[in-house]
Amino acid sequence: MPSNSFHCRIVTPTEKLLDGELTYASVPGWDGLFGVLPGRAPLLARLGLGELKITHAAEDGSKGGDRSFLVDGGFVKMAENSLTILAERAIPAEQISLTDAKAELAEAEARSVPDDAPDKTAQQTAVRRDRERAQLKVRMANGVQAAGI
Amino acid sequence: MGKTREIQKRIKAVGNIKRITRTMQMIATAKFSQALQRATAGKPYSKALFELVGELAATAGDELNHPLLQHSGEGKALTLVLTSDRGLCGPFNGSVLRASMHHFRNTEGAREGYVEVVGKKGVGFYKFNGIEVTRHHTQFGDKPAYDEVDRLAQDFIDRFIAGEISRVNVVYTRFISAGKQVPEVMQLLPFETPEAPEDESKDAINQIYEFSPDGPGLLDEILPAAIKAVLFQTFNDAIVSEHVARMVAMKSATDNAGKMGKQLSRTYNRARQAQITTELTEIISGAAALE
Repeated sequence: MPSNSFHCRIVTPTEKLLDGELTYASVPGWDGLFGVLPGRAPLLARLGLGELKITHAAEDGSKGGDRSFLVDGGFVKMAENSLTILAERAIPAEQISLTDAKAELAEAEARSVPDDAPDKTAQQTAVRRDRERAQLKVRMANGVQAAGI
Repeated sequence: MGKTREIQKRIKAVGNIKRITRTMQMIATAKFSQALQRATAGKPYSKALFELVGELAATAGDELNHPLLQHSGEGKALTLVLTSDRGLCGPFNGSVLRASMHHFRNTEGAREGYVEVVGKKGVGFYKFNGIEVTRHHTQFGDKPAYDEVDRLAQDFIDRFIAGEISRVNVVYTRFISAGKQVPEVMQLLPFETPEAPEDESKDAINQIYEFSPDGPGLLDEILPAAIKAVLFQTFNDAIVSEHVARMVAMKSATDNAGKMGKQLSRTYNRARQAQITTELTEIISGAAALE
């Protein structure tokens, strides 16, 4: 049984982003990052906001290599050496543009919740989440630029 | 003299209509393949999500109870009807609206409850039939975005939990294949858990999952996501069906226009011939009279 790779699918409500063999995945769970290696025990978990990093298996023809995605919400399932990531939102890192991310961050930073809003805490949480997402986007866009893509 | 010109005018008009319907048919075909692609792209997500719900339900066994799965009995029923914004799509809107009327007649409380409509065509229909539309959603358009559907589903879930609404039914056109679409009334809330996959091989392995957060906590998160995925699927199905219906309707309109053009040009030729004959007779008889 010990194979050195596992199958992985990344799907969102609108598209299928990945279907292939991996050797490692670092998944942003709702309570923190966790790594997945081949043969991991069955798991069902909720996803949080974060960067999903994967390492492709070096198959015949392809060299392997790393990729990352921004993931926000969803679920992850590991069973029978197959990892399924059901993300509510997922964007490949190379598709995040630094200028857009910066604009989004500025917009999120500028937004404030009025004190007399009826659902103040909910709005505050939403704003905080938007800020965190924008910050992560900026970080990831920077990271990709530094890597020279 | 007058008759031939009239027929010529009609031939021209029919030709123009034919050109328009053919263009519409081609547009609908292009849009259909795009919409179908979008709809199929979403299928793996909802399928995998239902598997998760099924597996969670199977592990929870009989103790599975969640507010979203139960009839609270409080509040009014809500019916969401998915129609199109544009017409000229054959029986598409008619059959959905007929299905909704059937639902109103046969389901207790549906007629008195909230009626929410997507698409302009449905609003006009209900106005005509004297049914009050509580809310009209216009934000979806041709390409329903997941975020919009997410917001709508969240709104339903919140109101359902708060006891404002007792059930949510969606009337939409289900897309089965390019040749078959059927109007359907689907129950969105309380949510009906999909059957756990009855796969022998899986039973034998009997997966013991590690849950994070724990089972109930995960169910709290996963059920809304499943409900949203189901609703998103119905929106996609409705859009795809609309394009198919328009495609078929415009195809037959083009064919009919072609047939009519042929018929008209035959009548025109006959009339022209008759006119020439009359003129000839007139000339000959005129010449004969001179002799």
